[in-house]
Amino acid sequence: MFRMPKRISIVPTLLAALFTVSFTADVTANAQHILTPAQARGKRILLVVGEPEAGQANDDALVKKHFEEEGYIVTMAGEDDPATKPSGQDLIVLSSTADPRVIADRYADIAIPVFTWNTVDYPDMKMTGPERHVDFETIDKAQDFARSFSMLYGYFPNATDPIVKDFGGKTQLFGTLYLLPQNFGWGKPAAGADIIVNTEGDPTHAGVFTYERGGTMYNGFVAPARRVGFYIQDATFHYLTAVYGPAAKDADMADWWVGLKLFDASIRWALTPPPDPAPYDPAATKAALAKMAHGKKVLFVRRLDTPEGEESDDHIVQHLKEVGFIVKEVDQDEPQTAADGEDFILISATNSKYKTTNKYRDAKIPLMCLEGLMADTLKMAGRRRYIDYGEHGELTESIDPQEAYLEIVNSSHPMAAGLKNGYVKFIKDADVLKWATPPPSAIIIATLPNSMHERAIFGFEKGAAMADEFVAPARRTMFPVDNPAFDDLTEAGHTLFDAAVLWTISPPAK
Amino acid sequence: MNRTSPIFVSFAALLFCAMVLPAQTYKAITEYKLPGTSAKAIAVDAAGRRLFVAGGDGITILDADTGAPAGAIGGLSGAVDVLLIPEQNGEEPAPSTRGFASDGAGHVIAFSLVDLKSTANISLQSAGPASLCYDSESKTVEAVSAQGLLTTIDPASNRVVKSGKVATGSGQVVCGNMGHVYVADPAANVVHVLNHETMENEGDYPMRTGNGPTGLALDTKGRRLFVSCEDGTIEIIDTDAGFTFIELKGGKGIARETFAWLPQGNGQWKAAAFVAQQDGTLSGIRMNAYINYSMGGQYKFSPGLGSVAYDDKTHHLFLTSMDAGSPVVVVAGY
Repeated sequence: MFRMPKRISIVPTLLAALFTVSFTADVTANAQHILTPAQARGKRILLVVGEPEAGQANDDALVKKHFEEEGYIVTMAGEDDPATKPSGQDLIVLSSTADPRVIADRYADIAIPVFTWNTVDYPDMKMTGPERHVDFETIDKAQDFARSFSMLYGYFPNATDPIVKDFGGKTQLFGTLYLLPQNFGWGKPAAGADIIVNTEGDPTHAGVFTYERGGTMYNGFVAPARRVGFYIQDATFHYLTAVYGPAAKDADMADWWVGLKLFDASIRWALTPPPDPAPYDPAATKAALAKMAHGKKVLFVRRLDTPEGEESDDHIVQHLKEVGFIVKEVDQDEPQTAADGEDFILISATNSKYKTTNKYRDAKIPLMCLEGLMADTLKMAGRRRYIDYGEHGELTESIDPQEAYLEIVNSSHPMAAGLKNGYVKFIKDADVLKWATPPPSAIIIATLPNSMHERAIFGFEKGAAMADEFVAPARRTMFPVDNPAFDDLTEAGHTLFDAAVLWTISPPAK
Repeated sequence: MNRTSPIFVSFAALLFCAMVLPAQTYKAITEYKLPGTSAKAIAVDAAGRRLFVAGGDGITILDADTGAPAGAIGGLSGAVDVLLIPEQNGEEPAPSTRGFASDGAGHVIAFSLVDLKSTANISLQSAGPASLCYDSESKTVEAVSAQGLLTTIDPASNRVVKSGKVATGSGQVVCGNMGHVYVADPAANVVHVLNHETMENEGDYPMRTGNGPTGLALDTKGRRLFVSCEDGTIEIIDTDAGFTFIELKGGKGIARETFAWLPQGNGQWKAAAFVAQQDGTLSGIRMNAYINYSMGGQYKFSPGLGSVAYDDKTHHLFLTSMDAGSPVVVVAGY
């Protein structure tokens, strides 16, 4: 019997293809470009300041002058001005001279980027918790004389951050302010933030930190636009370090005195339109993964003939093949030379950390680990078990109940797969979920609910400083699928898995 | 028995001293008349008690204590700068025996402080005025021509060692560490950092807020450069970073400066940069610490101040100036 050829509608196919291309481009392209100084010229800045106090120096006029020299159009606002004043502005800048009790949360909800060095206002801006000395602190050069010297030394935990990359910063110390005891402000931001600079050897004391639009701020508040916290205070802008003359030609000296460059790059980052994440679409995510994975060779490290999780591992292999990977399975006991010639390493949670040893840590190809307990051997976290990493809900090793949900804190990142910030059901039934507290260079996608320090899904960009200053040889991702849990993943959990694999195997940001 | 604490007595004595000791206020002590129509630069021979003044009549020499004429050095008219070569006797400073002077037409002379005779006449490769400084590390005289020429002179042989074309400026020049020669360039609003070993510009220090840098003084130990601008801003630059870390308010107009250790003797200011400006303001920038300077005082003289030199024997300052259209040296003390 003659059959008419099946008609295929080309429109949905084209649309799907276009979406896949768009999604892939979103993941793989460097969506973190910052406006150049030339591109930023002409942007409008509202500078909110307080009344100068008699006998008290402040740098607001210098800041305004600097902005104008950079080509910005500056409008001044007082601390009493209404929240409608920023209308038409590209950026709101909050000086510490504005009374934090007066401006309070006036600019917290506003969908315009905010750049602030009003440290005491961080809590009202939902950028940190409310407790002074715990969630944020202002260091006074008289009251805190000794500490004010330690604040002269900042640290860039992540040279792959677009702000730090903008001026060629490295993962190392630098001079924040000129060599005098200085007032300084720091905050301890929520998990959704990126810490650009930390101080005093405490990775959580952030001198500079950012929230992407859509990032989870303190108490679950979602950033309506980009937010930046910066360390200067009333009269310290003019002490932001810079180098001129012969020292500017010495790379080490030039890398040290970068305070003003950091300020300028942070302003331009705040002014840069954020990337628009693709909407949640499991099929599109899987299609994008299939496009990226096609023909790539993955080494799947598992415990063969394991009494637990065998079927789940088999299903992972099946899924990898389904999206186009060429899968090579090896036992945990195999030497790491098994990864030679591969494009990607996926480490199953069926492996024993004790038996897998330190293998694959140095692999120069992307790696994703499903076993949270390996966070330390893979340099994804410190070595203190149950402090730097642990098992949420494990009956004998955790005080927490078993959990089925994760909390997305960084919806704008491709690894979030377009899921909105907040709770997402990850596995069908509550079970053990692994976690770690990675260093601030990690990109945090999800945490355990009500345990913000327990980061579940996170990744490191190639070149980021991981634990112990270990530089990520390629992208690294932690994804907490315990032994049999792959089969228990919800649709959202599967989509997060695909998005995490897709980001991990995508080319690193340039 | 009510006994007064010895600590209290000491403190009270200190407080009393602080209340009764006079403030270190500079004032004009006297004025020395000069021949000719102008006075551009001044140098002090503290050991020999003489002043060397560069002016329209060449180099005029005065008695530093009385102002009485003490001679002149020929061979140069329209002098614009003068310096004396500091000498050492082992670790101790010794009286200068040699000096250099420049004019506005590209000439430099060497002279002897012994017989006040010119010992060499050097023609620079640039016809314009040249400012002079002495590099005590390399033991060379550096001549900076405003038209863009740096010339190194060996004061032992009075010969030009080398010269190079490089962007300069019309402001004051000072020699620093590691072959650096700092040149104030009011037109470009920067201080050029030249290297007389390479004859190259190693970079510029921009002014933070000041405009028109003309006066320079350098603390080579603290590596602090004091830059006075025509608009009244004094910037203190950490030369390791080229970073202005303090700004002070000075006088207005073209400035000339000098730096001195213990300018008021032991127990007083640790060091100071003195700035003389065209509007008659003498500013004393007091060093409190290497990272802390403040305006120790400002003293108003008649407008027309030119150059300033420090006498470490008397702690006096000598300032070239104009009085009723005639050049003078103002002697300032406290």
